Amino acid sequence: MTEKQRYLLDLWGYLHVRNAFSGEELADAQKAAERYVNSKPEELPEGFGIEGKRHLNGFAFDKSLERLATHPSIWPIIKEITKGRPRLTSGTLQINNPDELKDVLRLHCAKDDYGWDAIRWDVRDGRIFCNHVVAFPYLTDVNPGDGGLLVVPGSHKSNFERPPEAFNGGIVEDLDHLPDGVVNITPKAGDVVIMSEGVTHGALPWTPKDRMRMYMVLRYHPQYAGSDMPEEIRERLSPETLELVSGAAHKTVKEIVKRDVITLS
Amino acid sequence: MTEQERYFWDLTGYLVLRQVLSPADVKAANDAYECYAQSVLEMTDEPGDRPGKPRIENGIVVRTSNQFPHFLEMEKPHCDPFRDTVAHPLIMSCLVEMCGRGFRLDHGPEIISHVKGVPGGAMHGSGDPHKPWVGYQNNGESHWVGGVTVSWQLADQPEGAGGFSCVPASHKSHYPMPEGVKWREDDLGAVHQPICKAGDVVIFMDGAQTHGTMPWMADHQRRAVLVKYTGRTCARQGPEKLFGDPENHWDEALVSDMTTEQRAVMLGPYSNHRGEVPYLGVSEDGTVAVEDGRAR
Repeated sequence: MTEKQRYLLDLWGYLHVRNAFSGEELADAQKAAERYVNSKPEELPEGFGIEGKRHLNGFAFDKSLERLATHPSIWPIIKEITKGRPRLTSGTLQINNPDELKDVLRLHCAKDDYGWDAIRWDVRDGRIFCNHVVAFPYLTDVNPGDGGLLVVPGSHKSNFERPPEAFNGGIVEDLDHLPDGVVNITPKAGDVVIMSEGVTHGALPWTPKDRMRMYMVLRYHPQYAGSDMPEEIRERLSPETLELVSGAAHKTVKEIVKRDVITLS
Repeated sequence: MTEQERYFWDLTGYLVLRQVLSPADVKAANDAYECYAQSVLEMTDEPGDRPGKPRIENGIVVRTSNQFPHFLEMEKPHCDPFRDTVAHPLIMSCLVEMCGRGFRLDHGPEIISHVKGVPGGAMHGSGDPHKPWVGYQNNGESHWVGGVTVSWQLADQPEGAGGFSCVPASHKSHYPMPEGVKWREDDLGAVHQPICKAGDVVIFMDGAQTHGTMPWMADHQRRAVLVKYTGRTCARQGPEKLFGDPENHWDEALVSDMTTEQRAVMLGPYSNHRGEVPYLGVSEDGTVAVEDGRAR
């Protein structure tokens, strides 16, 4: 993580990494994701399934998607932010279709959903620690005006509960009326947004009529938290990813953490 | 202070209160400013004629000193708009929560009245390094900050105009401001210019929050009156600096035969803004000495 990245991540609670992956890596991931999206539910292998916009365990659907979980553009950040004790606890492929209902995702965060004690953000010895981080590798473009991810920069350190009426009651329906303090992030295909689950976030309705929004939702916790993934998913994973999704004791140092670059076997 | 204002203040380090001043209030303050600016321009350059050295560019007063309360000293009715601001009820209700009971005016009011082309100033202040006397603290129930500046807008500050800008949330930053942010040539998208109308009030954590002045780009003149407060037991850059020498703060007879080191601890309270305060250090052998030879 560069000094600028560290400054912004600490300041805002999220980081927009541009051009994190491209070319063949991106094309392969896009094709695999489209294959999953276009599959009939009954044709899906065990462990996969579709719940609305969520395509469960999408990261394990294809090696091109699995690779994103330890991609060099985010791996050093994930290692640092979990204090060298990373665990991937879920990896969903998520989409917004052009023909879907134009509903908004109300602003929320881990503190709203699970209580103030659900999320930590600390800086010690110059390093950031967070116990619930999400990486969103984007597989399609989001352009200004399209809709998509909303964030409240700095809200990961908010000391007060968000008043119910703040930010229009948490419902933000259009870009032209963004409340002060709310930002719409528009990543391009190949960008990755890394965010603390403590950041207040939501989404504008997806407006393009000819394009879908397609991105991964990769959740990381410290290795001593979380629960095991289904066996049928674990069986598909390369040894490196299997170690990443596995739980471990506080003081165990995973082999993959000793590496700066992960190549899947 | 409403719940929403408290949340936003803690979140960002600043707050914009809309239309606190009526159009008539704004006009009265602007009239007083015009009168003051004219009197400054008519002064000679003899020593002592311009206490506090207002900054003049191309025959226009673009900034007054923040250490001399010119506007509070003006003859009535021109002092009234400014005296009305220093203890305005709405602002007081915020300050008593932000700086605690007994908060006080530390310095100001000063006016920033840039015209198009006047360069901006560097971004400054941050949560890191933490400066206790102006820093922000919050224990989840109450909050406190040592330095609060209240900026009364006497002219519009539309989008892209420049003027006051800040890095929201920087009052809690754990890292120092990157070099590119300082002069905004590589601001990382972190610098924000709030949009204001004449009559609005911007309140910000002066010292804790990264903030600064962007070059003024609008055709009309910027007009912002800055009034600077602090907690009861803090000191920033106010008159304490003028009266802080040991002889003034205590008594000449008391300090006259003190050592340099003893005099250093008898200095009155004020921030070390220009590095003028003598700091004491203790060497390994237990010798106490003034660092950097800054004896007073």
